[in-house]
Amino acid sequence: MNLLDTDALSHLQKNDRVGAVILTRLAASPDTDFRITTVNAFEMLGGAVDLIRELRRKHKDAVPGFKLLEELLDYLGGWRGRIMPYDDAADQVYRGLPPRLRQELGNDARIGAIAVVLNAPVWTCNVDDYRRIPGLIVYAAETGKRVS
Amino acid sequence: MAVGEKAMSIHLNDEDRANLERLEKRRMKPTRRQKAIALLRLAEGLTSSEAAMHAGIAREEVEAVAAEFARSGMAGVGLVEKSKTLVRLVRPGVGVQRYRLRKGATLADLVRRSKATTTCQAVYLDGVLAEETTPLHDGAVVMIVPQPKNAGVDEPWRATIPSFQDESLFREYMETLKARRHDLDADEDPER
Repeated sequence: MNLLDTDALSHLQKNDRVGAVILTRLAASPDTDFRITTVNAFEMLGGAVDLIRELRRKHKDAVPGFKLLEELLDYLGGWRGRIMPYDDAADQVYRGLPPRLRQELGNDARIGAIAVVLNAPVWTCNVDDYRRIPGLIVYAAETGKRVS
Repeated sequence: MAVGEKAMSIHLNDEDRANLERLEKRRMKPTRRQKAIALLRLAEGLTSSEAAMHAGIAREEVEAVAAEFARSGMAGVGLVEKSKTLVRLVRPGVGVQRYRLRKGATLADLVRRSKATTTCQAVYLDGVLAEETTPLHDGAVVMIVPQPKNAGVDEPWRATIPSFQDESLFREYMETLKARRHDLDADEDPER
């Protein structure tokens, strides 16, 4: 089992040049059981909600924002049964990280904590941040190579 | 009786007394610790009577242990440390639990011991899907997670978000994501 971080997911969701490369790497992985976490979902949905607020604040058309929110909800439905929880064990790992690291990594530290508890590698485009988390196995999503 | 110490009064009925007397007459087997003490004292040159006194067992027991040791070594006297396999069991919502199992134990043994359910669950051994008959090794990490049976699609990571084809909307969304990165911690004391 592998976990995906939110940045890698965004590229996959857009299917841009980077997303296409990541898709190839994921498909070529010996373990194609990829999962996400409630923290990814929190970030994605929160991002869409903030986007709607921002569009309204700028007096722009909010409909595309709501459409995006709808698509994200459908998208997350496709992950049903594959969304790993941020539970007490993950929170304990998170709280055990140095305060500075938690502050700098933000939600990535929480995703990392879930991965540590599950002993699952994280596939990310942001390897420099994730490999600062002790005990975490990190794969560079763009190369499919293990970096820590 | 020590000066100032009161005798404790215990009342036994006939049945209890008979049971206790029967147990009292039963031959007491030396414990592993007693056997170890006896062998160590013998090795130091003490007589079997002296070793018996140190170990708190009969001289005959000491001699029997010594004879068995001479014949079959530590295994003969039951003093070989049983090798154990230390395994970590990870379950979302439950956390990490550590189990010490006998050498050669399988996943099925761990599942039984932990009383974990594997119905509609996927069981991984060191990150690889495993059968219940798979033997465990020392330091193994076993993970039991919900089986992605009810998932909408087999490989959800292949799905895309149509709205993201709108470049300016995608850019704005990514900016909000970046701005929210620390959102969960915004109200928390960073030193906590």
